Amino acid sequence: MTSQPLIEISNVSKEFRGGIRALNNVDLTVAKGEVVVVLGPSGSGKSTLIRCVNGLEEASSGSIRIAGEPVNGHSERSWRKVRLEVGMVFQNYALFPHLNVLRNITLAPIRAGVMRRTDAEAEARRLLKMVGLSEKETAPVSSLSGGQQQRIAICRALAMKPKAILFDEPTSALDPEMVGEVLAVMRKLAEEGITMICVTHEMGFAKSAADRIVFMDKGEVVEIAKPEEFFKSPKAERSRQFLELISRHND
Amino acid sequence: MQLIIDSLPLLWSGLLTTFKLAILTLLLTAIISLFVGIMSVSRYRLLRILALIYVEFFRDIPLVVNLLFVYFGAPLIGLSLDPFSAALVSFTTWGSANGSEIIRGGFNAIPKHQRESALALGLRPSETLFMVLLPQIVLPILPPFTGLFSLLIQATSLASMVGATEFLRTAKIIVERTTLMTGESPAFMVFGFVLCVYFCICYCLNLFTAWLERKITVARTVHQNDSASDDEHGAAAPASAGKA
Repeated sequence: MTSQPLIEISNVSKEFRGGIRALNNVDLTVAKGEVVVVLGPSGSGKSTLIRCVNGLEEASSGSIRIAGEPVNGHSERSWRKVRLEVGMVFQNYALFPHLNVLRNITLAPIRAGVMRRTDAEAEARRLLKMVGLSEKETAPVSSLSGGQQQRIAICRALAMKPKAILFDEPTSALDPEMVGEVLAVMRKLAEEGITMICVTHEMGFAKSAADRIVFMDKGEVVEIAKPEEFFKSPKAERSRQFLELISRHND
Repeated sequence: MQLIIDSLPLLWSGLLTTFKLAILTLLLTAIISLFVGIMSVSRYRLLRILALIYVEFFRDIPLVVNLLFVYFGAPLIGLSLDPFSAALVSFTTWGSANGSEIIRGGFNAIPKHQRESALALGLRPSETLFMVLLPQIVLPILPPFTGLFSLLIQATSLASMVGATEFLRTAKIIVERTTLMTGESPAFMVFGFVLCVYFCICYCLNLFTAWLERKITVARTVHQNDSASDDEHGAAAPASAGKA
């Protein structure tokens, strides 16, 4: 890696109540501007991993550094500092249903003091234009399709001017015909050089947009490789099995 | 009928007491319900336990027993409550024990990702509560709260049991006095009148909350123009969406 690391996950383990081990000594370093796609079968700990990065889950052990600064996992204030710099996009969009589109995007930047209201609204309009939803500014969330909601959720994360964005299966809840519009926005962001960690099952996106693929299984990082290497000649046996299973599915 | 017209000033003063008791009860119930309801979904175990104790204690005793207990029990701890205050205390504690459970239910019905996405955006826990979660429970808790409020308004008539001169007690006094003076009991007519008045009050409350519910629903589901521009989306909004 040439540029400095933005997110450093070292030796992180996560054990849920009841002794289920979701992460087992995971190491992952993400450089500034890098797009990392995390693949793996369900239950492999992909989501848990990125949820540990912004403190929605608390790692049981190990350390996480954002831009060189260690995160104190026990203080809500420390996590808030991280969350102001690392955005997240959820599987089920999680827009606020009582606010219209514009307010969904401007709420957090205004509250956090990132921007004044007028600036935040101008920024929100710019973002909406970028994702092709300018005309939906005053629409209530309930009137939008899943694909539209997810594009707005991406705008909402971007409005905070984050250093990185975590994507937690952003297209998994979408109807097939809407997957493309969301991936298009994500590709655009990848090209713009925003640091991204994406948990996804979209192999096409992984192949074309990722700088590196992280393959996880049973709470462990099995393999980290460039996409062309990973998809052509995976090193680990488990990666091979996973890819075989998926290609068989697509035939 | 003439009797009721003649007694109107007296009934009116009783009704005023009922109104005063009802409004104070509803107001305090709403505030304490919110408080205890928020405690019951707190991150802190101690607050949750305190809320649980409060709820279980006051919800599990009949309202009348609670009222008698407060009125006759208060002097034992050196407090002397007049009938009105005793009624207010017992209705409010009972009401807010039930109300806080409605609020807790409202919070629990919000999908988990709402709180998570608010926190993930860097909102403070208090901002998450007041700007994201609380506004979302208003609509679902409105119908059960209307029921509770209706019940509380009706329950104010119990205050007559400890001697508060509210609407029902005033009516009783009129019936007794008239019976003594004329030898004829106007009970049916007077209590019929009382019934109608209670019905009207609760019915008005129900109409009001139904209207409120519609208004909030429309505001959240119909595309509105808060800016002056009117595009085709705004024109599609039904006329009933007009702002009051």
